[in-house]
Amino acid sequence: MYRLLAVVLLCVAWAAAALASGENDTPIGASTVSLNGIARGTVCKEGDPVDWWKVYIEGPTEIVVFLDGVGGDNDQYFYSHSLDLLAQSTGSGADEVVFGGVSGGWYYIKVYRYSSGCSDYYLGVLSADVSGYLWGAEDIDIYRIYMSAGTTYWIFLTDHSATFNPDLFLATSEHVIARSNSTGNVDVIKYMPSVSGYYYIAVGSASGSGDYWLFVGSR
Amino acid sequence: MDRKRAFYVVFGLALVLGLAAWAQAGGLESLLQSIRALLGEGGGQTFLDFAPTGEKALETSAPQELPEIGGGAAAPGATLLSAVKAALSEKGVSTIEQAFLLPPKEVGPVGNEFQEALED
Repeated sequence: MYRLLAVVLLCVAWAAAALASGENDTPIGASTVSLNGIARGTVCKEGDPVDWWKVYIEGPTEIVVFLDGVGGDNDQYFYSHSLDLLAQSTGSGADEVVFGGVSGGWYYIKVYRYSSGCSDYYLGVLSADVSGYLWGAEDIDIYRIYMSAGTTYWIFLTDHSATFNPDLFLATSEHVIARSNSTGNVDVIKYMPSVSGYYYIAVGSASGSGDYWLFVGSR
Repeated sequence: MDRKRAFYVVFGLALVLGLAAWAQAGGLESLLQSIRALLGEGGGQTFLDFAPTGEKALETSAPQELPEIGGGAAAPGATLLSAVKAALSEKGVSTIEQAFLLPPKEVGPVGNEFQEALED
């Protein structure tokens, strides 16, 4: 009788621990984030340093996987369905991003709390909304987008060329609100408009020609 | 009698917690995936709003429509084009610093960018 009670109590302790840590601490228990969806989670150095997520992508496409965290240092790792590491983002801040082309299927994402304390985060997996080509320096493509007040928008611009350097702009019909002029192959603007309405996303070549991909996520 | 009652109480608690852990680990996800697949077969736009599971909430968002200027869309006007051109060449617009773009703490086996080989 006492042996049975001990087993039952062990089961209780396991279940309680699993629920407390959010359960998605291994690839098998990975939570699902939908493509073009933005999920929310929390990692803590003590007790719950790792969250695993999985996403299903139907076919070949360009994607951006981003982690928008609060405070400290988070890292992000991106894996194939067979858990081969495809990309990692280990900057010293709470925000991370990986990007590139996938063939489709299931993919896994690991969020890791590098520094002490806890961090709430948003995790987004976006497929390209549009792709385009810029013909040399100062060529500009402009897109119109309706943005709602109080909603957070993440706008990413990627390319795969070492000689092409596109910059990303967010503007009203008259002036530029924000820009990202990273010299790497990814640019990003995060913005929450205070007024609903149409805005413009501009992609301009600072140097070179090439293909680019544009992604917009919102929450 | 008390020992028996304690056993049933503990066993019931274990059963409830076990079921909750199973649902969070994958049981509910399987169901949701099945529903999503069925919705996808209809070819229509799906808007799903998942209930929070513990601290982690899942949401989908509608895809953005980004019509390129031209072909009937309202033109932004010469003012915007000149503003963007000026910003592009003169770097006159302040950049919003983004922690997304910080360099890695240490060199890893792979970087931020990937290109998966397409299957034949």
